[in-house]
Amino acid sequence: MRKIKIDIDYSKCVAPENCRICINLCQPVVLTLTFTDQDFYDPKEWKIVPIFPSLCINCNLCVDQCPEKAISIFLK
Amino acid sequence: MCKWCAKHGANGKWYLNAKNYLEETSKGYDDSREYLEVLWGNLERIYLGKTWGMSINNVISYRLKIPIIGRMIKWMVNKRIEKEKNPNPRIAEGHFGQVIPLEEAKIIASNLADVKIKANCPCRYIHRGIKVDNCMGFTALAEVFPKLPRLIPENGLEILSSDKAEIFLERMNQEGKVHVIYWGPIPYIAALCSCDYPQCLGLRTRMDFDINTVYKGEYIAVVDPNKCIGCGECVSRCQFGAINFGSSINRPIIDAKRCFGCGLCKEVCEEQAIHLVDRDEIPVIRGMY
Repeated sequence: MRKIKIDIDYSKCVAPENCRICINLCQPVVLTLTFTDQDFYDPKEWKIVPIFPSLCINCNLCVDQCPEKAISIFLK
Repeated sequence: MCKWCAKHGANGKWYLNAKNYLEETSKGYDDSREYLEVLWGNLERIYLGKTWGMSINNVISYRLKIPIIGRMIKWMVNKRIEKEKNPNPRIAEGHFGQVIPLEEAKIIASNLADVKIKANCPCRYIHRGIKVDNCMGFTALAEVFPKLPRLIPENGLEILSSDKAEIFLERMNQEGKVHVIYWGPIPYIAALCSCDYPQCLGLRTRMDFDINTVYKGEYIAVVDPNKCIGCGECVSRCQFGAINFGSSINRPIIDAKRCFGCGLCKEVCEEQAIHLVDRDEIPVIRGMY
């Protein structure tokens, strides 16, 4: 089975808390604004993280609409 | 009736047993307050962190598709979720729910639950980053909410009267949200949530990975072909993909195996052509929760 890989370039995606375009577009909620390992409750430090990549429906809306072009989806 | 009704229902449904809402029950062999504080405070970590060396995020979502290993993982996770004695809130043991129709949600809000408080939905906050006050917590959980700042709504926490709670539930139903009742640690009932797929953690794990975080309801919806005029309003209301519209027969087709018995389609039908039937009355889907 070939797995879907969703890559996010964190050098381009800087302030996800203010942008939130991709998490509102993603219909099966694969992209979420989620805590990282170091911090937990401060939303300013949170990052866009792909969860359950197997549920991605390959609509490519996030890739097209991201203003920084930080997201890429491909098969592993 | 499901196995939890047999255990904790007192000859009825478990969520309609008044004993399960009592203060004494919440202080039973495991104090619900400590349990609920850890559970609701760490919901993100439970959902996305690692349990037994496996993160549900990347590992389980692919491994569940492997034929025999997938079935074993599912069995292990289901057993973990339904654990009754000494549940560990850090891995969400003993926290699962069941879909209920609007009428029963109203009975719970008006007669059974004592203190009712509305709070922000943690699931929608994790998934979409929005804060909406769609969750209703009962006695023990209502005491826990003030300790968790991200769950407090903009207007502050307020204790709902029975009338206000019923109006709130009706509004949620109109917006197309499914009422789900959740155990605190069994045998205490802690919350009545208004969920929608795919934002809800419980419905999402149930629908996508078939893990029993949310049980199907005690009913299923049935269409009366004589009354139905084929307007198709009900089709868009279904969260579970159970209704298709048969264009050649001009009425909706309800897949009984997928139906969760939430009754959302019934509320929107102007001809009252859809009614809920007890799950036990239909032999094929009896016991499929």
